[in-house]
Amino acid sequence: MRYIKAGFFLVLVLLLFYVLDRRHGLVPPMGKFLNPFAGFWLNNNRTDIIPRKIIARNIKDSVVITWDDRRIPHIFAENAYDLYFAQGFVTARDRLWQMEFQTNVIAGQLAGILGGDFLEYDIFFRRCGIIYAAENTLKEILADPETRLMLEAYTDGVNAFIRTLNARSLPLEYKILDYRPGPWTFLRSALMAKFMEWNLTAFDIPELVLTRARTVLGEAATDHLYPIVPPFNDPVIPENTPWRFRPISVPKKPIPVFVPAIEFDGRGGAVPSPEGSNNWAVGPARTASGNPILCNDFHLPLYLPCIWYEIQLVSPDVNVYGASLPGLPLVMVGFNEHIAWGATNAMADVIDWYEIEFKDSTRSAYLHDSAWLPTRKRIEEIEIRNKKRVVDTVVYTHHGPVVYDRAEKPYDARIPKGAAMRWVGHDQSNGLHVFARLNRAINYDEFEDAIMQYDCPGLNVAFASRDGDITIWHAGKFPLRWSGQGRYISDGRNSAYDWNEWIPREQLPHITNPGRGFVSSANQYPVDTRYPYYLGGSFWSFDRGARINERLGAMRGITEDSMILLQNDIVDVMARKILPFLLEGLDEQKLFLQERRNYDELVSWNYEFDIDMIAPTIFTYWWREISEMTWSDKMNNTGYDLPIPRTDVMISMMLNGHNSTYVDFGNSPARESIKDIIVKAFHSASNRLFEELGSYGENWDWGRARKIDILHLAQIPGMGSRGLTKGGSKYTINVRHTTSLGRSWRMAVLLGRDVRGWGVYPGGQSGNPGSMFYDNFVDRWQSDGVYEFLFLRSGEEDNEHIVGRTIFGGRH
Amino acid sequence: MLVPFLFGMLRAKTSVYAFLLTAASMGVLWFLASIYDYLTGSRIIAFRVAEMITSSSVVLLFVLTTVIAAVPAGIAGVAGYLIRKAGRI
Repeated sequence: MRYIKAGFFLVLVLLLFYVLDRRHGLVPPMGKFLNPFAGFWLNNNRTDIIPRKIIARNIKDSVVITWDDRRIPHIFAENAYDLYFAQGFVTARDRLWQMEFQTNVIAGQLAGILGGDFLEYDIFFRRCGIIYAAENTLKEILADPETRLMLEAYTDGVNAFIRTLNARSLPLEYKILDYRPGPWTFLRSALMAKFMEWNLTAFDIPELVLTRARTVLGEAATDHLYPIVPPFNDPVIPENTPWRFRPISVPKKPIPVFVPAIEFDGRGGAVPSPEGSNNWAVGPARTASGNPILCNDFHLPLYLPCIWYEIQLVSPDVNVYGASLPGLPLVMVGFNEHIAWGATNAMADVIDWYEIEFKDSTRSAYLHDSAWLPTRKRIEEIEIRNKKRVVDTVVYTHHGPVVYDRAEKPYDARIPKGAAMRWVGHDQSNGLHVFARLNRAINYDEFEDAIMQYDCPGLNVAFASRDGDITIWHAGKFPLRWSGQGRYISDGRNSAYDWNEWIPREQLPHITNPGRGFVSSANQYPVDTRYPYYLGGSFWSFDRGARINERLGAMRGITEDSMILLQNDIVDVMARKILPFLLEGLDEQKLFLQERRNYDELVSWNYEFDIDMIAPTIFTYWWREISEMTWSDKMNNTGYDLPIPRTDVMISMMLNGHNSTYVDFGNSPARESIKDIIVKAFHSASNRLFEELGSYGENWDWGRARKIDILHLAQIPGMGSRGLTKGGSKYTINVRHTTSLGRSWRMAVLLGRDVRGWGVYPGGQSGNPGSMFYDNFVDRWQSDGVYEFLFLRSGEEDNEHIVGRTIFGGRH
Repeated sequence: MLVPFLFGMLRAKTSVYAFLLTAASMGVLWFLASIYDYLTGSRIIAFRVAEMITSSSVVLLFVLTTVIAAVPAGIAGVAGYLIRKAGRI
């Protein structure tokens, strides 16, 4: 009996030890996690203490890191290796978990960390060939001695930090998710580049949905409902700008039009809803100081830690300040002592899908121009936490990987089955080289030289220099296509559908020092109809671009303050365009008491999505009802679950006499006119407002009715910032979406004798949720304020914002 | 786990004594250490972790930390004591 009792307790002890030492589902290993000597308690704000000295073997000379009161590192080094080594070290010190996790996400390596539930997710990214793409990029980076050195230095810096870690000092997320960081590799940095490229290009996968729409509605109707050039477009390059080049010949469109044999058994898919951004540069003639000003804000999913890390990098040949991407050396957007540059997503189509005909079930050969070409098979080994690894074989054609076979169910409903993906991101390219040149450029010529070599993702890059030049380039590697090529699923058997040439770089849309004195972009279609090349893509609607151009066109004597105010503009020109038409459709005499109050709110509205206004909430509810009543029955009744057309398209149809048959068709017993829908939707919206927000009052204020959340990157509860109040709409310059998407980085730069910059991002420099600097910028971001950047000229420079210095040295 | 186990095996006089002493020792140790951490820079992280475990109160976090230390330690102490007792036959 004694033995049994002792044995029982011994087993119980071992069992408890086992249970408390391991993660169960998403519950952390509680024994380790709660341990006050090694667990989460140590992820505190003591990490905010600035180290006086850091010893690193690889450093060649000494490096000084000056920290300001926002914990921005200003790195002063004597050579390039030391500079990027220190950048790698301090970025890892603040953001190691984030940089590793983001590369795990894009590389399809989540199941190894989070468990088997993420296997399908991992398979999706492996099938998309992301690691293959990163390997191709890496070849180019390593072939260039300059970028090779940068990457080696950065990688050494990250690994030097990783070597300082032990079980006690691991970043919090490793303790929660119960794993340890691996060594940082060149490939991880290349994957980080792919993370950005994928996020900025893969929103645009409409081929399956559009092919489905074409089958049901015909091509003309599809073009009408889902146009390439959004209505009311105010292009990046002003209309009627002459193109001063001789275009090369464009491939001919094959006849007849290819109709894929793809089965439309899947549902879902939506009109691409891209993430956008704003940038503009104002020339000397329009500014009060006679110096150019450049502004830029990126609209991306918001999470903590923020995707950006603010930094200044100084060595004998560079002094650059701006937003870096944790995981990559250099500054991605920012300014130096001579120039500033900022980017928005070009939105051009750089992903096409090709239906593949395999010779047999082995998928070893596929048909192309009447010949059977061999496929290449790539083995992907996917680790799964606490389980055996899975081996997946991905078939590659000359187009690219076949993401899903016909018998499979795609993880992402937008992906056509049995089709190969052609993506510019798969090609060999060296983005680091371009950013290295941008970081060091001192005038327009050097900027142009850099931007002409830029590949992916396509960007509208705005530029301003102290010399007084401004420009904007629709930069990237874009295939030369016949009009409409790649909009629908393409014929993988026919080389006429292949990408055989590229739009010549010097003929990409661009404009320098235009007569109107400013350049701008907001993800809209970049050119007018006279541009000779087809760009494809899913471009943003006219709203932000038109508003920026309208305001800049009217402004004189521009200052940095007026530019910062313009970034905060919350006038919704989409609402301004349609609301008078909608209000005309209502008979105010027939409105009940609350409806009359709602009507009065809208009549007196100035179209600002202000947090303290009720009208934006009423308008949003009303428009949602109009959209649902107009489209939901119609699109579902096609049997193919077609997506609802975008707001701008619908507004265009309404204002142009709603002569589209699509508005009128449907199976409702009574045929509705637009006016019927407007009236019915207003009644319904008034009821829903009451049901969802209660009685008319403060709860209806835009700021209260629609809060914004910034979640943790891995959506760990408690590690985000919830319930933020923010003005603006998805169509205002000061953008905010109803989901966690908004301005992820914002800057304004005055290119005077002394270059000055202002900006903010929603987050903080530290990736440690226990740090004071984890989310300390969020309040200022929320209230639309900015900080002035501390742009230092030397490591010894004194400033009231400097709070400490770290000497970074080798063992001399 | 090892320390309470060894204590139970080498010093405890009864199983209740083994449990209470080891549980109390480890519980108090972790409780005081977590209080120290909390007062010296861990307030922010404590509130965030409390929210993570769906509690708005850090008090629960201290209770949980103490219990997670005390209960296994107490059982380890009893196991040590019983093994010593079983070996005396």
